[in-house]
Amino acid sequence: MLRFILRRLLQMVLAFFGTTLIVYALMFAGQGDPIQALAEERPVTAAQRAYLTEKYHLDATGVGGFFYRYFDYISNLLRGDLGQSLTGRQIGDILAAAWPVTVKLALIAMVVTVVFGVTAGVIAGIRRASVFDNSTLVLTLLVLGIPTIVLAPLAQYFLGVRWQLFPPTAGADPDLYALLLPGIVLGSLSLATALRLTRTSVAENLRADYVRTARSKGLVKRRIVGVHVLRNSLIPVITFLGVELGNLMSGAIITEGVFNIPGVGFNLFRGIRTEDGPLVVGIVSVLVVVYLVSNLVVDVLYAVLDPRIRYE
Amino acid sequence: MRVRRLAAWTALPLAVTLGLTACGSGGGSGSGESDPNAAVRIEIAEPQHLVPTNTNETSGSQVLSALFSPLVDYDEANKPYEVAAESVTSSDNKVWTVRLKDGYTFHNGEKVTADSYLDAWNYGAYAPNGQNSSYFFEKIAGYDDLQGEKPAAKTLSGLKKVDDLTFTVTLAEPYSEFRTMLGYTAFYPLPKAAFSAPGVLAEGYEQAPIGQGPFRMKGTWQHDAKVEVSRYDAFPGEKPKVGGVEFRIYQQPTAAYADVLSDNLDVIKTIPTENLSTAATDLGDRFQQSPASSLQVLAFPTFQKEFSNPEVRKAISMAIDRDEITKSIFKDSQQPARSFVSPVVAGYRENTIGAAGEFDPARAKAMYEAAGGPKKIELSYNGDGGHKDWIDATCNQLKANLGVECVGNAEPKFADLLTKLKAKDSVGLFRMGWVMDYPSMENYLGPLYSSNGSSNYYGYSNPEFDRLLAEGAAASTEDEAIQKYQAAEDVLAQDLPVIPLRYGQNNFGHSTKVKNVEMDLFDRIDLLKIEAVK
Repeated sequence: MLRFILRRLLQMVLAFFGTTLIVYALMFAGQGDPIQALAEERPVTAAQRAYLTEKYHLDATGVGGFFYRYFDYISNLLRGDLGQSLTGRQIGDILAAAWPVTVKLALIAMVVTVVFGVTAGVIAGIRRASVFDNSTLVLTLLVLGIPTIVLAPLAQYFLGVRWQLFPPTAGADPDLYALLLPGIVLGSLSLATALRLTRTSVAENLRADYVRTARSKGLVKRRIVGVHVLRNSLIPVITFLGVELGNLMSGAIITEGVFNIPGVGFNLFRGIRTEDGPLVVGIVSVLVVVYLVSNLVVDVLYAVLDPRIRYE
Repeated sequence: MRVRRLAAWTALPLAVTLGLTACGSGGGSGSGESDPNAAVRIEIAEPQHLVPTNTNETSGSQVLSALFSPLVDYDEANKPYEVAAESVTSSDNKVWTVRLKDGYTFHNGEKVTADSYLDAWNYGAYAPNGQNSSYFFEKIAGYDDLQGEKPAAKTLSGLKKVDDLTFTVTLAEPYSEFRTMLGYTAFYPLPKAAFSAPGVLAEGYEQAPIGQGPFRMKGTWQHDAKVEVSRYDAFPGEKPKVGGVEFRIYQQPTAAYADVLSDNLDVIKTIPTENLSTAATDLGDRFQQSPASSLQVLAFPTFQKEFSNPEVRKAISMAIDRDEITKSIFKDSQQPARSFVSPVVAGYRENTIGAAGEFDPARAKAMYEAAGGPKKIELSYNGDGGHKDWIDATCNQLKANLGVECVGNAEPKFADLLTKLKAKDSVGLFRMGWVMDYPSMENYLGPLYSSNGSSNYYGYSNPEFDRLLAEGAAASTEDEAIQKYQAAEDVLAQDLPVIPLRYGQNNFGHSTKVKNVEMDLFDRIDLLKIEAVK
């Protein structure tokens, strides 16, 4: 087990540098004129252009220029310096401010997904073809069909503005209550997927041989479902949730925008819009780490859930 | 507000008299007693910088307008009057004497002196400091010596201290409207505390700027979240009517709009276009509009043969129904334009392009054919600015009214469009926008149409126009300057290098918790007028 984790961690280092290289190359290739992009439509003076070009080595172009800037970036990164965004802010500071709120938001979404999605999925799986099962089927279809870009403003308008049940926006330093609505909106899509995944998995496992054996041994139903079925049914759900954690953190661009939460998605959006290469690379690098770590955790959890799985 | 809007739109001489009586009238719901100690919450975007000489976007300059008091401000007729300055005078428009009012102190207790201004301006003009607004100082003598990678000088030779409260500014060329320029953000002073060494800005100054204005920083700039300021009681000028302001940072105006609707935010400066149609019902009289300084035009590459004939350009202008487009596409959030300067500057006249601004498809077509206009027209724009709808509508009008082929060509970003224009690539007609730096006709004419103008992408050059601009700059009074600029505008109207299409308009709204919400010429909320309702 230890060797497995160690090997995975070493692979992560390679994957990390590989992705930064790719993202850096994409941003580099797609870069037009970041100075003008920053100034939007205002004229840029020659002095200002010269100053920014010098400061960010924007005159280093072509293949040689790319590797010069990439290695410059990496060597700074190894010293713990993520560089500066084009407005002169330390990217490390931006990320330090953005991550906590995004993590909070993602955790709320995750809790919502697990508590409601998995629970309802188990119930629907046990009572297959019941009214509950059918109504959740329709509801999840509906949720899966509405994109966040529609769902988020709708929820904000009705629950925030019209009925005033939740604050319409969360802001930079929100309390749990203010994050609840964005968290639910963000989690609703994974909730629907998790529900249907759990339902199918539970329904399938209920017909498995070992359940029949357990039943014939005279075990109570709660123990059969709670220990035997659930444990086996959760493997696909855990896989899904592991990937989803990364998605929730990076995919909150729309939700964070609608509810004005200055998290990672918010900054990623700004970085892309203003062609701020270092900022985008910084955010994506951290996201890559999140994905890698959550996948590692999922793999370790497999072994916990299913003793037949062994890592060498 | 209502009075000011009228004044700005019609620019009647009457406006001055109306303006004088306008002091008491406020916009929106004027009911409820005001609470002089409450804080109001105003929406901004994340400022790029909070150093006066480095701030050239509205969010940053909105925050700085709380922390600093300008040398001059503008009255109802959009003419400058002294605020932090006692007087700004010149006998020859070249050497200007600025006398400061006594009693102003910075928020750290430091006295405001002539040096505070000279240090700030020298810092702003020095090219290696890379300040966004450095070009505001280019009219001052010695500016060129501060440019380049290794400038010859560190201070502007045109700035001289006379005594603690007086300094002189020598310009490279006479400029009659220098006094008008001084109201802009770039001309604020900086305290000694802002510098760690002479000419070196102290690290961290930007996080909590110290100014001499009606409000002082409360804590530091909380990036992406808010900037809070509280009333500075030792401020000698006109006192604000609120205890403080929280500038709350939003990335999307739709989020701010939802907050205003539920009284979680007091002022939204730009109501998003998608909410404009319902804003009047949602907010009632708390939805307000006022003229903004921006001007949208469709420009001709006059250096290309097919567009070199002014008759062709006029015919195209006459084939466009501005009123229809502003109404159906912009839902009256902008106003049709038929002049080259915005109604917010002194000297504005309505309809200076005359017949070229009238929608007359029959005459347009006859003129176009007689002048031999091109069979195919391309309209270029930046695809990220929401311009597609009106470009397509304009194209359809040109197709129908001139019988030409017309296509819209989207460049990904404005920067891409500029790159092509600088290379003089063939892009056909292209959209341009202009927001003034200071309320002067010159600011709408010089940079855009003079032969060596910094934003003249049309290749337009007319010696007569250049001469009139130079004469305006050298004129002995502001009124005489305006006459010259108006003559220059008439030359433009003859040549029509661009088609004026629309003036911008501020569409702003506020919650039930504030009143007297007004927008100034620089699209900033007037922080001295706004009041909180108990």
